[in-house]
Amino acid sequence: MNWRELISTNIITHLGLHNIEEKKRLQLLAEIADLLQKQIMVRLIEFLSDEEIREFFHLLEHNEDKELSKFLDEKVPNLEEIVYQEVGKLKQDMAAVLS
Amino acid sequence: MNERLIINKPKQGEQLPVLTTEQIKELSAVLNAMFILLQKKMLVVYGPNSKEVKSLETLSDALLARNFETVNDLELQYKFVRSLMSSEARNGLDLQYKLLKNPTKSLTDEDLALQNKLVEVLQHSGSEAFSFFVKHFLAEGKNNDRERLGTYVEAHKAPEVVIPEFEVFNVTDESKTEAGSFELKTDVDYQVKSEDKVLVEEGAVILPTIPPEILLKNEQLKYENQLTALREGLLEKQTKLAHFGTLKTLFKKKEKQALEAAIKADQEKIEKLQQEKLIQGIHSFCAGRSVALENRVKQQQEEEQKHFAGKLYAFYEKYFMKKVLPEKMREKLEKQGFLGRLLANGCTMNAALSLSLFGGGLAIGGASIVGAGILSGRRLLSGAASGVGSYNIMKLGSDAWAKSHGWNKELTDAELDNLSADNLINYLAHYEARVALNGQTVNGDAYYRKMTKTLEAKIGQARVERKFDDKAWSEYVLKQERLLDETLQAALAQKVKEKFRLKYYATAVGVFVGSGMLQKTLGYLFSDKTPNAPATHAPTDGTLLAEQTTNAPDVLPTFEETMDLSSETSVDYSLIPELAEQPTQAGEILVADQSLAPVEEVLTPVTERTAEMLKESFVQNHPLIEKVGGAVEIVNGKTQVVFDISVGGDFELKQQALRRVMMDVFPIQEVLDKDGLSALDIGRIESNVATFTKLLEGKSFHGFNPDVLKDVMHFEGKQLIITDYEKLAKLSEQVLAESKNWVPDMSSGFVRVGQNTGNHLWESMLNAKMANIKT
Repeated sequence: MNWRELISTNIITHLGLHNIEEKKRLQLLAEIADLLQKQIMVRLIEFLSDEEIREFFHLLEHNEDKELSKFLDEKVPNLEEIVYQEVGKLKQDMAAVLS
Repeated sequence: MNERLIINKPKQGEQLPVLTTEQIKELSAVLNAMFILLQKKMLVVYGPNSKEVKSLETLSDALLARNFETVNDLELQYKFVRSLMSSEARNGLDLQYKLLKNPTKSLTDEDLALQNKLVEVLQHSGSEAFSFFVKHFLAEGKNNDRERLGTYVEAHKAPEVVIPEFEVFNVTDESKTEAGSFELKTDVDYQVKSEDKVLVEEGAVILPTIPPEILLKNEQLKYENQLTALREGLLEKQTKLAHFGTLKTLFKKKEKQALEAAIKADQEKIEKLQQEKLIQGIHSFCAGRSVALENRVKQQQEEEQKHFAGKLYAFYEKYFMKKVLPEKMREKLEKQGFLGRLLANGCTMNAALSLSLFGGGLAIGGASIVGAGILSGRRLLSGAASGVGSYNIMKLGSDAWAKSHGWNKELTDAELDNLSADNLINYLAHYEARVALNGQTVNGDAYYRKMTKTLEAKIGQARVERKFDDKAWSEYVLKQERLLDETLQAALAQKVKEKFRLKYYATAVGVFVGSGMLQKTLGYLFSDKTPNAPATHAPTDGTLLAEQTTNAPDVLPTFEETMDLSSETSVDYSLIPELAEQPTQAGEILVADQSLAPVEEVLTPVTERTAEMLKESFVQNHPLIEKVGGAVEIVNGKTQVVFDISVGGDFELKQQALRRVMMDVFPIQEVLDKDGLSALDIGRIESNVATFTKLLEGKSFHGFNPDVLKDVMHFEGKQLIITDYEKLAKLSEQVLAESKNWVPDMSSGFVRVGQNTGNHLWESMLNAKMANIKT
């Protein structure tokens, strides 16, 4: 499976979750989505300087959403790429361990 | 494996090795494994019902092999192993057994022949498992004699040979982790060998706790071992079942039924265990990764002096709940069916990422699954988007959501037709989410295709109706103007004073207030007093009659304007000069001129109609109010809303009514902004509810005096009466502006109050509020 296929695949089929009862399946998906968020946040932390992290935190804490959006556009122009990578990596790693 | 054991045949008179108990057990276990493998292969090749399989004499013996390892009795073990072998090899084993029982026995020629036969069997078995056995049984046996038994030749070094370079790490042994040396860098560093044993590279650095990924692999292995046992059991039963021919079935029907039931039970157990394994695996994976990520953040802080890294990491959830999706991602999302399109209107990072897990949204920039033509109806879609509520895809696609909307079944053509375009779009989005949650796709889904066609037809129809509505509305307005004109002419004919006439005219014209027509109409009526009055329509002779002749259709508002909520909530009656400048005087005139009955009689029907239209307009633009039981009436041109607090007017019910009102008057712009109806917004609404509750109790609160509620809102008996809804909306805006001081951020207690109220309630209120809003 190439990278594009991996990203485009549905995690339900990828991990074989479709037979699990819906309530449980939703919980698992929420758990996975939460982990994905953490992974992306860590990548952002690693990407940004201390000063930039401080600014990110400030904007988040004070709900300055417009500024936050602008800040990320400027400081993390490759955010989309980071998201792709983490989505693909998560799917790949989980399948490798759980298959 | 290219291992081969070369065994030199023993010469006459030479002493042969004697099998130990362990060796016999080992031999039987290997033979057992061989037979299971052989059986599986045969079933694959011939199928479970083939005659070839049935004819195999040893098959039933092989099936018994599974139980062998649990038998401790040496003789039974010996007999069992014996049953698995060819007659000659069996004799060879008999000899070995005799030697075991009586080590002093010397070999005869016959013994030697049997021994040679056994060696031959061992030499030519060829399977990997058998080679493994041979190596250990003969080369590593207790009575090993390499020179006499042969030489072990390795073509390739097997993984097991690497063992000495690793240290066996017992995952359940905590002391080992403290004292030993281990580090989880990559998969190269360790190998999971059994449920509780790991081979660890020598010299690695130890971590304070057992690495979660190792625990996960061990857990998975444990499940896998259980599954293997279950699968083997199932295979045995299936093979037994395969032996049931017509005759056997006839005589042993119950046995066959019991076997079938047992097979079904086994299959269910396997299915359940597989799911458990997966669920446990995901839990462990996520937990383990989270620990590793936290460590990464700590490391970043220490090594690169990123002081705020930990704080920011702790706030990760807040970031992903923000609607700060980069434009590039939003554009991609827009192309992903109705779900993506709706999400793109106001999507949190969290929702977008959830969609990406299903292989959609951010991840793909490809073609949409539905025609671009349908998705291009931005206005329709943005209106419908509000119905998605929190944009939580998992919730949107859930069974619970389907049930709550009556969508847990396929809708009939008639039911689909009865859905409004907005509801159908929401249904399509729900359906896409549901299909994704089940690991499927709507591509090629006939039902989905049918729904999109129905929607296409509806959108086409809606466009036509919208044009028609514009026209009908224009005609209706003109008709009302003509009616007014005629009425006023009649009034003039009866020599009614101009002021009085204007008062009534102004009251009657209130019909246009809620519709956005007011300003235009006033332009006609009072062009010399209103800044927006069109110059070309200036009065020619100072009479209203002359103004009414203006050709209105050219300047009629668009449909969008007539539906604009903001135009209604920003109604300013001061634009009607007589009401604004001399309200009491007008009232006095009314009393003083009661004798002018004919004029009232003429005007009353018009006023009633206008009140009815105002009410209609209000209800249409404030669906939430009527939905939650508010009785709407137009009294003296003002919108009055009454809530019946039936259960004694207790605090909770008052608050519930107020909460709905505050939600209704909450500025639409705040809902449509980037973060939608955020937790902070809800906190501010709760702050407003508290302020108005206190003011209604006659207490000052948040800097407001209870007097501000005069002529706006009060309690009367068991009723909450809003006497002037427009005024309340304005007052609420002021209170809301002030609430920013009391609810500055997420730490405010009002935010917590809002969260306690429950998302479902806010979503339900938001949906009701947005039901008729077009953006």
